[in-house]
Amino acid sequence: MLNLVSTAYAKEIKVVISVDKTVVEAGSHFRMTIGVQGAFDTEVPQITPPENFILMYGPSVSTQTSIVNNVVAIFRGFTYSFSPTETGIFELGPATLEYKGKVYTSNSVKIEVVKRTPFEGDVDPDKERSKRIDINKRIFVELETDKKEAYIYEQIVESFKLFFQKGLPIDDLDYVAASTKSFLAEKLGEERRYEEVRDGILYNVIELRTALFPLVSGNIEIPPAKFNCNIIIRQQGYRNSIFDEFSGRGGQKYPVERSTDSVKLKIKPLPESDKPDNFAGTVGRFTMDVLAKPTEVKVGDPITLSINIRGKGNIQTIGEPVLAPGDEKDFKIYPAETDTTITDRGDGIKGEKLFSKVVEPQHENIDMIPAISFSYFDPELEKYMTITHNPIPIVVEHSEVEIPIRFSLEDAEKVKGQVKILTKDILPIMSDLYSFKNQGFAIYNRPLFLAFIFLTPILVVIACVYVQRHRELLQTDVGYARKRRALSRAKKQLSNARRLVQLDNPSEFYSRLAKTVMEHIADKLNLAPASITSDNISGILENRGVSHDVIKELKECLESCDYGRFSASQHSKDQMVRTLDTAEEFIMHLEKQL
Amino acid sequence: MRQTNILIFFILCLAFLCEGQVLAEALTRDSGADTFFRANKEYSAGQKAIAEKREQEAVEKFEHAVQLYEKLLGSGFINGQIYYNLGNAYYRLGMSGKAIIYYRRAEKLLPRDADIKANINLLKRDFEDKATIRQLPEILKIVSFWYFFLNLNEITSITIYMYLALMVSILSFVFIKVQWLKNIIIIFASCLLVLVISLGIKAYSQHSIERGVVIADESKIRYGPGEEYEPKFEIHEGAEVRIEEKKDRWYKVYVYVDVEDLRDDEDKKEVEFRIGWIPEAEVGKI
Repeated sequence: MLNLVSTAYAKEIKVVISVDKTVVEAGSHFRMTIGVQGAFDTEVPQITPPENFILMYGPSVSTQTSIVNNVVAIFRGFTYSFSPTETGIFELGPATLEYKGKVYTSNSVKIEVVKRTPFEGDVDPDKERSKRIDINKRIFVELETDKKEAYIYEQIVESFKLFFQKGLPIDDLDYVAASTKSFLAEKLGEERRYEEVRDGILYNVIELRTALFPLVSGNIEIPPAKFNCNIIIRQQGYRNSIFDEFSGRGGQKYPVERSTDSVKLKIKPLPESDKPDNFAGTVGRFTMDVLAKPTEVKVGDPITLSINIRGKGNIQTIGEPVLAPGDEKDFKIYPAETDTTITDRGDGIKGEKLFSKVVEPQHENIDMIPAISFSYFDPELEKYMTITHNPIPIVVEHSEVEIPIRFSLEDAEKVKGQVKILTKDILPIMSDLYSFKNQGFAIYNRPLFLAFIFLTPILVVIACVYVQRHRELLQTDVGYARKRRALSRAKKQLSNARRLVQLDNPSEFYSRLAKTVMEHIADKLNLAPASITSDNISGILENRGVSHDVIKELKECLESCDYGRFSASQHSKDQMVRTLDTAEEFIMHLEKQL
Repeated sequence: MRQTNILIFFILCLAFLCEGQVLAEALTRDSGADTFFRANKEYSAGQKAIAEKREQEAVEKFEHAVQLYEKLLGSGFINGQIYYNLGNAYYRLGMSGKAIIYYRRAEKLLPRDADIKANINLLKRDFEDKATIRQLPEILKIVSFWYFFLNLNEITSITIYMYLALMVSILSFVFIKVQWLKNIIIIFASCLLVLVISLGIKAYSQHSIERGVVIADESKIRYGPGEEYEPKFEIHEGAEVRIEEKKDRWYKVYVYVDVEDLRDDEDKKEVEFRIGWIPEAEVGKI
């Protein structure tokens, strides 16, 4: 692992010692880098390592040049590899460097050499665990704020820092920001990447910063922020292909989850004493520029006041500067339009808010725009500040054009021509009794009525569809028509037969009755009457599922009819009526079954 | 004969249902009109007293008019004119917030009335908070004119008539199968669908979404339902809000007035920032 140290200052010479680990097993090796910042033509820094540290190789020299904000930063790294032979705590350094007559001294790093763990077999159950502990030391996160105490609406810079040992392969970085419900949060610039030495170990640092503006006072806690990533661990014996190296598939992904501590803040309310009347909640440090244009106008012509508030703090919440109170009739003042620009998100929110306000002088006796003042609370000085801009001299000339509309009765006399609105008032009450009815009887609130209204037509439609279909079938389907008309026809014929009983004409009666019964069956089954005989009728009805009782009834009826028609003996009226009744019963029973 | 009896039975049922309403309405209308007339008279007397600079008398007259209008509404007689006049009376008594409540109620019943809109606009101009209810595009108002032109009862009635017309046309088609009847059925069915959707949206917006108006001179919107929570921002009389829930005499509201968003411009955050809790007593429901 190659360790390089970067610092923020380019012109100073700085010498820093860093190591890749501070706890080393005796016999194994570790790397130490002496970083020289600020010059590349230096000699090798001098260092005397402890006696029991065997130099494996070194120094290996590397040079790095970077340009940040137009400042050239030069770094030289002198890397050594040592192998300690004895256990104990040893101090490496300080290293010294002589450059252009000056001697520079570095820091020193403590190295703990522990006993070597013996190799006992193929599988070591603790090996994975020890690896994990090692990984945990190599990556950690921190959450901090630039101040622990602040006023409400004052800017606080929150920094989330991810430390990971240089060269540690990490992937899939996922940062879950701390919840800042009681604050307005504004992201500060892009993430910062730099290197930092902690306890002698060199870490890469990724820093994400946010400007927080507290909205409530009291003791507020920023909950922990969370960070997840995967560390790629190369497996021993795993042969990587060149493609794996390119695609990052060269090892196993080891998920790591870190969370910071919470941060406690004390937010103080703004002091009530000495609060200016025009204070509108602005906290920070600001300046004000005012520009009026044009300064020579005619009565009623607009003058644009450009009031620019510039400074550090929450730019969005800057309240509007106010004009010193004067005669209300002097100016017609329009609401200001604002334009907010954040100019710097580096070390906090800085920017400007431009208020463009239009004022119209109402008479030619005006010679200046009143003073403009703006108040804010300075949290560093802990007091309210008021910036006042002196009155701006203007020249107002008489205008021939009248101001068209006035809204008050007093001004009405001054206006000539055009539409005049004398007063503004509400329109009179309504008193239309013709349309005065209770609108509380809402139709949609009456479920019974609605059910009736909606269901009735549907039922009518269904009924009509049924009737129409019946009519159509009667006209088009002969079988259906014969079946539906069979009963009424049979009843009519039975009624004629009954009349024949009264006429005492047994032969005609029995003949008609037999014909009625046979025709009825033919109609019900949609068969030609001629195709039905006394011999096959039982079989036909049986096939159609007619019960034996009914068939027996039919047989009795037909036998009675045959006997009556063809026997020479006298038939009583009672006998004829009985046969007629049997035929009627048969027809009714058949109606139910077919 | 039997079919004729069924028809008569249905007609009688319908007549009974309709007649019940007509009779009930006729009975309440007479007494309601009488109270309304008296209240209007009191209001006019108050108006006259203002013109003659008799302020104390004017206040008494307006207060009496308010009592009569409230009594009328309390008896269950609801009419847009009463709401409008009550709004005027409250305005005269210096209660602009309450006036807006009644104008809004009147607007629901008389959506075509220009006077109500004029008075609302006039009052809004004087309110401290700038209303930011999203205005619908003009084209949408023209395309779905019936939605803005008719009140809920009128849309319901038209929906019923459209439904009956559809049923009659279907019935006719059962007996007379002609193509143009089929086209009429399609037209009626489409109209009915549109009306039913409009009815649903209107009923939802008027009955399921609770709206209110701030009636206190100044009201603090807090982070939670109680005085112990820090104030979030202040709104003033006449500001309109949507009531989202109620808890211990506090309403959780979404304000329809301009709140300067101190955070990002993201919509979600803006919505969160406009929501807060307000005491029940400082809001009047529309």
